[in-house]
Amino acid sequence: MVGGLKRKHSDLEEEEERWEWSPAGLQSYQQALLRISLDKVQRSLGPRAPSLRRHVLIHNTLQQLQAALRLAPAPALPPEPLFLGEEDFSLSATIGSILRELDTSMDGTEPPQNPVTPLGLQNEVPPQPDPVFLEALSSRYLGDSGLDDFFLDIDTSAVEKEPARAPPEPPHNLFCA
Amino acid sequence: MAADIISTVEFNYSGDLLATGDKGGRVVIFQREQENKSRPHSRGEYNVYSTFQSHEPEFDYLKSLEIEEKINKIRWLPQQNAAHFLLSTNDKTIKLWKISERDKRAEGYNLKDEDGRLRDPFRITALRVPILKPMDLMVEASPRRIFANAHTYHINSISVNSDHETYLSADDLRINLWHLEITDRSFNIVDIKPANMEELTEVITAAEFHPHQCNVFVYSSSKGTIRLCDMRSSALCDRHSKFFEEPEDPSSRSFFSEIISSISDVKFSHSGRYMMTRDYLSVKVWDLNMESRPVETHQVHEYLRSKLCSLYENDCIFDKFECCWNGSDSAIMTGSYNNFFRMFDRDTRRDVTLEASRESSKPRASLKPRKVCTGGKRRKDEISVDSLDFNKKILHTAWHPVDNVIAVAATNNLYIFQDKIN
Repeated sequence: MVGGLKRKHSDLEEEEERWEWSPAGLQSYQQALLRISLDKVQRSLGPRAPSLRRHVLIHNTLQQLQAALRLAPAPALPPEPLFLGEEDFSLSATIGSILRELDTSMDGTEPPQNPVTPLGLQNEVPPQPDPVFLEALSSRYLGDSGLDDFFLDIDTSAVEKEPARAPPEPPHNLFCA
Repeated sequence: MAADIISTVEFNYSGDLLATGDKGGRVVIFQREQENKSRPHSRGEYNVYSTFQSHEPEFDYLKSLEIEEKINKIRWLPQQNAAHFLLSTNDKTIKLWKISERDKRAEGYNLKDEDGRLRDPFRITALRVPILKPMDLMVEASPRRIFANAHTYHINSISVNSDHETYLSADDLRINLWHLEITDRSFNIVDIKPANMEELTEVITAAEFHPHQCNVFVYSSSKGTIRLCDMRSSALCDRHSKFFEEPEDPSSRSFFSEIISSISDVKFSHSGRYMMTRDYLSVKVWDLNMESRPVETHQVHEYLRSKLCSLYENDCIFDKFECCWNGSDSAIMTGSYNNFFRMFDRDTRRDVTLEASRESSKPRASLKPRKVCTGGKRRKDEISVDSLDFNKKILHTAWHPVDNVIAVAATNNLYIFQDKIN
């Protein structure tokens, strides 16, 4: 936990307070938020059942970020690639699959002692969720070339190369102990 | 010690008892000293009355998950006889505890001697009546009911109904209604779980019964909305009677708008005419007759608005602050960071920031108001935003139901402040 607010991302705070954003600045800010959010989801899985509220709030934030990134115009310079290889794709604990996992882990065995069948309306046909983000990050599509469609603005040839800069910390595998 | 972190604070209906629950599953009850001429200074002091282990850590083998013993909420029942009753809950199980005093014991049993050893029945030649003798006061806590296995998700609220017979418990997606005497079944009255969990975008964050209308309760959500439900209209209260939401200010929209709108606490006023909600940056007072917007908004720490990205990164943005009313509903209180807490006087529109710390609280000394410097030149006794300690958070506060006595939990310390007499 952090005591003060001065962090390596203090640049982000300064950018936040600026009135005008350059397209590149805004996009790097959004990408950083994206990275922070995905990191959060990955770290929150532990021996205890995760906080559903926190997951849902991060999920909703991720959806907003994804929508904003899709709308952003392509910047003049190729941006720092956020996803640098297959390893990082496994990093991105897909929110959709997280929520699915929560469903099976928490609700799989409905307690027998919840007896009164509630009356009232069942759910109507649910509104169609934005499919692109969830599907693109879903583990089913890992390694699929369909991912190129998601990163419209990013030069995907960079995905094949070695990263120019080492990642700030060793990548975590979601599934390691 | 992490287990000592206080996780809930609650006065009973008279204010004579104050209960705290902690991360280690313990409950500590304090009792207010009665007026005593020989020790005038001790009037109104709270001393430890009872300590007991309410919940233990559990392991759900089926789902391979630990269940924390941390006490999320304590709610007292109204007192009906000499004993006191309270409900305490962790993430999964609610327990009804009876706290009773014993100041006499029986002596002169026929079937056992004073050591408790059984006497040989063939040796008993005469019968005697046991007599009661005084003993040192002993306070005993015993679990009377255990309400288990009704919540798949984490319980965030319990609320005793004004009928004194039922209570509700709420988790992230469901609210159940219980009868205090019946532990093997509960009624599900709210269920917001979608058919497909991937479509989940909103959770229940708090719930409370109306203080006087036993068919009415409210629940708040992670999207900043409050729904008021009337149990008379349908068995399953998925349809609300009233829906409270303040329209968003488009000029302050950011990626964190939804997170900071998430309501962490909802409390009815004692009168039952108003309710108060706490979101990340403010406290709002709502008139139950007006759903379109709150009647009052009080800024708790608006200077944090420009720091939301950092607070998102260090997870502080997910902190759940509680709020409370004073006995006459004329003032409200809530916590902040750096061991600061804020009090708002609704009549005079004045507010004050105070600090709960050993350095600033000498016994019988007045608390000095604190101020956070938000920009420009910092005055001598002001503290700058960047110097605030975000590990020192005051999430739980309570106000005596009648007097001006407040209890403030600062991590693992409990502070009790009282108004000076004369």
